[in-house]
Amino acid sequence: MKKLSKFFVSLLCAALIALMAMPMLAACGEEDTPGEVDYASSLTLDFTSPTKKQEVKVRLYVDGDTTHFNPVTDSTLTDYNAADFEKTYGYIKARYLAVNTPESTGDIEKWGKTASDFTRKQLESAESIVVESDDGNWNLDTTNERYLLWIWYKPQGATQFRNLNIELLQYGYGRSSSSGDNRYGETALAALAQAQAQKLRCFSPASTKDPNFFDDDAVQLSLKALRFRVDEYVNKAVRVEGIVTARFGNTAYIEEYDEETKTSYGMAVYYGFQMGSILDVLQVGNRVSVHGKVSYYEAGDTYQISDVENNEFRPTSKTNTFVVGEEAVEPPFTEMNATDIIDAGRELEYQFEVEVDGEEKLETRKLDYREAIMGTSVTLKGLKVIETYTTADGTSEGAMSLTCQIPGSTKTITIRTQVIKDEQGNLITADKYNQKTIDVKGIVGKFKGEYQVNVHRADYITVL
Amino acid sequence: MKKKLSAKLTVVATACMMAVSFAFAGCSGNAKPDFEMPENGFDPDTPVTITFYHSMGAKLRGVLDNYIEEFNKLYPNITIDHKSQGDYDGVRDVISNQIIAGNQPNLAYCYPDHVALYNRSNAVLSLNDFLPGGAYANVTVKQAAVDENGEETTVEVPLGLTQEEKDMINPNYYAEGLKFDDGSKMYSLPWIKSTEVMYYNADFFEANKLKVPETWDELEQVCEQIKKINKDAYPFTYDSEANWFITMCEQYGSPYTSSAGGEKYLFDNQTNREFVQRFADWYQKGYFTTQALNGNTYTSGLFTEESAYMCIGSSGGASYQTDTGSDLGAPFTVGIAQIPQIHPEDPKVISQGPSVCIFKNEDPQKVLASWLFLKFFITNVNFQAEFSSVSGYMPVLTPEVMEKNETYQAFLAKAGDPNYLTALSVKVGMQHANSYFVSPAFVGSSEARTQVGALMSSVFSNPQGLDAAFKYAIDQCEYYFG
Repeated sequence: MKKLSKFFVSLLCAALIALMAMPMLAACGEEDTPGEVDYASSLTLDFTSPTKKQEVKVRLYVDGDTTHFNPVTDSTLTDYNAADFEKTYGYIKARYLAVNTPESTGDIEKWGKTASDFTRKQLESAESIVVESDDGNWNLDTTNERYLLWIWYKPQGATQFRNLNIELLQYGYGRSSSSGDNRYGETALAALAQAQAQKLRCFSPASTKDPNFFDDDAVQLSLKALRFRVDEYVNKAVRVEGIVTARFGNTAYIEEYDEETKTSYGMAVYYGFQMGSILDVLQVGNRVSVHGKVSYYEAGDTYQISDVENNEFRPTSKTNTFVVGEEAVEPPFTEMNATDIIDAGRELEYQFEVEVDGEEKLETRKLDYREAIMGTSVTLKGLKVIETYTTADGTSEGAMSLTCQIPGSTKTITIRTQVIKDEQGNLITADKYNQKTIDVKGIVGKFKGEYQVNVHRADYITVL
Repeated sequence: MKKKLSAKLTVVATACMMAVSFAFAGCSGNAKPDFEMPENGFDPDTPVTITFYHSMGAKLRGVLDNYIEEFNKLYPNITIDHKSQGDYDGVRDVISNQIIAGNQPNLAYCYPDHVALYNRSNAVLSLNDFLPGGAYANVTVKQAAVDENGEETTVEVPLGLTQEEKDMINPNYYAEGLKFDDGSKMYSLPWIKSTEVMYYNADFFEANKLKVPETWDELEQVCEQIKKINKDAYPFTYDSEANWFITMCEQYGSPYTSSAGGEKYLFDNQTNREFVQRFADWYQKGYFTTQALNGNTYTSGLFTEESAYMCIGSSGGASYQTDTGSDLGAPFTVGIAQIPQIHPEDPKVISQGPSVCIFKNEDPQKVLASWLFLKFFITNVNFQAEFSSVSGYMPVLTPEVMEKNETYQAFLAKAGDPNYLTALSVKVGMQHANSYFVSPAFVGSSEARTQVGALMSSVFSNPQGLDAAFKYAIDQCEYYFG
């Protein structure tokens, strides 16, 4: 009898939710269809419940189910306690509960970019955003850096908050991620079931096209062409060739020299946690033909090629990334003046043919030189380290930012190191470089809009 | 020991709703047999579409698609509509809802407790008739082929699993599908498998002349030695407390759970209390940490940054036990060994990784198509080889059978190469393929798993709370699922 009553409680809950939700037609959101239940508005954000809540603003859009937020410290809706987020340096990396949207940063999956765009659109349009924990604690996931959260947003002019997690499930933008195993589980499962029944997006037939996912044969082009026209190729499969110059952060960097512009063009190739033959292919010095999908990696402020593979079982597969030629090539690490990396104003030009109304025409693109050399290997000499900063926590604990004065100039450039160790395996700290003059070899990158050079090896910094 | 009230009630409710739907089905008349062979058997000419739910990521779906092409060369009329439904629990949750409505898929990734849940609605097809000696052992199907002149033709092949095909499958994995009720019915076949292994810092062990432990007693000795070398480090980590508890029960031959009727939750006994106490003492000495005690973070991070020198975790997680993110190469050589044992001469290691079950369906052609799909994929050496090399999981076929795939053997041969740690993990796993066990599955078996894991963490942190922790764990299991 004890078990029977527990059963009826759950049955009643599920039935009540279905009954209550029936009259609610979709008041917000897009692509409403007759009979669709708007589960996202069937839940109420209860500010008096024992869960943790914090009003936030978006700091960084990552993908469909991950967003970085800054807490609103003077919120009238929630009480801010700085100690709550000390462990994560004061901001909130949110991993959305109950939903798993397809990938759109590393491997690019169908519906991934579309889901990411939806999340961004809903949050950009919000008058207010509140994140909520699943119980009375701020719970981190297994990375120990991301909070598992419900995301509530109030659209402009609306009186009620909507639950974005449920909305993603409801419109088929994501699949289940322990959807039933949380405080809004019944609604999450109901929303999921509706999306499946309606065959929306992730649950649509394979023949349904995702407008942001291209499964065609790869476009083959030079690294130079890709750099000048990279925005055209986002989410598209490409094949490019280049020399592998470095590998760090689970990313290989390839580059190719262009005689016409006397410039090298590079690109990041993200391979993730793969092992095996792809690592053999992406060895420094190999000339490689890379097949993958272009994406913009917002957290790294860079374009990259991802979804790369080398399948030993299918050596002739058209999606393989493979070595071209037999001889290893020394990475160039082109010596240049640091001001070339940071100074605006210099542009490169690229002309190419396009077909317009059946006629071939010449189109010219211009590109900021700094952007053109992103991902390339460079050598900078005679930098004076005038200031240092060391990351104190997290996976980058020990990584350094060296602010360096450029020789013959009052300008400075940032040299950003990975966590680097000496030959004995001891962490190298900033005091080794502070106030010293150094030569560096690294890869051109960007952080918060500022161009910099990333260095990943201790032997790539020489103290003069 | 926070209760996830809504999750448990969801499972309870789902199980009960399934039972109700089964009861109503029974009210309509005599219970139908699991499957009735149509008069003309499998129809190779009429198109049939079957749905398959799984949790594969993009790369593995790509591998699956390649082999679906090969499958369709044999059975061109069968269309496979496969979908990832998130993680394993995601698959379970989706199907649980669909069973109530009667629109579940034709096949799905499953763990034993999922099958136990689905069978509250009697939804899962028993495969016995398709196995050697079964009712359909002598039934044949037409398979498309190309003759010696390059002309399209058909050949007759056995419908069911032949004895030869059955012998290709690791018997321990095969037996998992029988771990229900009285053990007479086969409800799933293994798809791909993993286990637990012990990753260790081989450079550290060599430099300090340490023996890689083969028993728990040896592990304790090594821990003591390591603490003298580096007092701040964890000699070892263990990711899954639940696996640890369950494995110790198996290694000791001590009761854990039973699906045979009567008392289900048997894990509160003297032997189990003693090993939990022992490990709690180790924890107090700083010999190890676990994922739960490490802030719910996988302990591979401690291992790769050399804050721990051994890490017991999934064989499928090898790529996270080393650092190949840089051209500097891995910071140290990673060795992989079998986890410590009580009786090394009779080793026991947990078996994990998905199996596949077939759901009953009114359309017998869908059932037959599902069976042909499942049989193809679990007996296809090339698929098992490629899937294993991409996923880092172990094929379900025996090592002897896998020797037929030269590319796979070349992959395994690179097991000493730091870029191929997954190969080493697979190789070690396959070497101990006869050591695997699974626990009985029933509605509530996953709760037992959750509770024994929680009690380990609790007692490690508070050894005085051992009695209360065991009582609480039993009480929780029986309250919701007793």
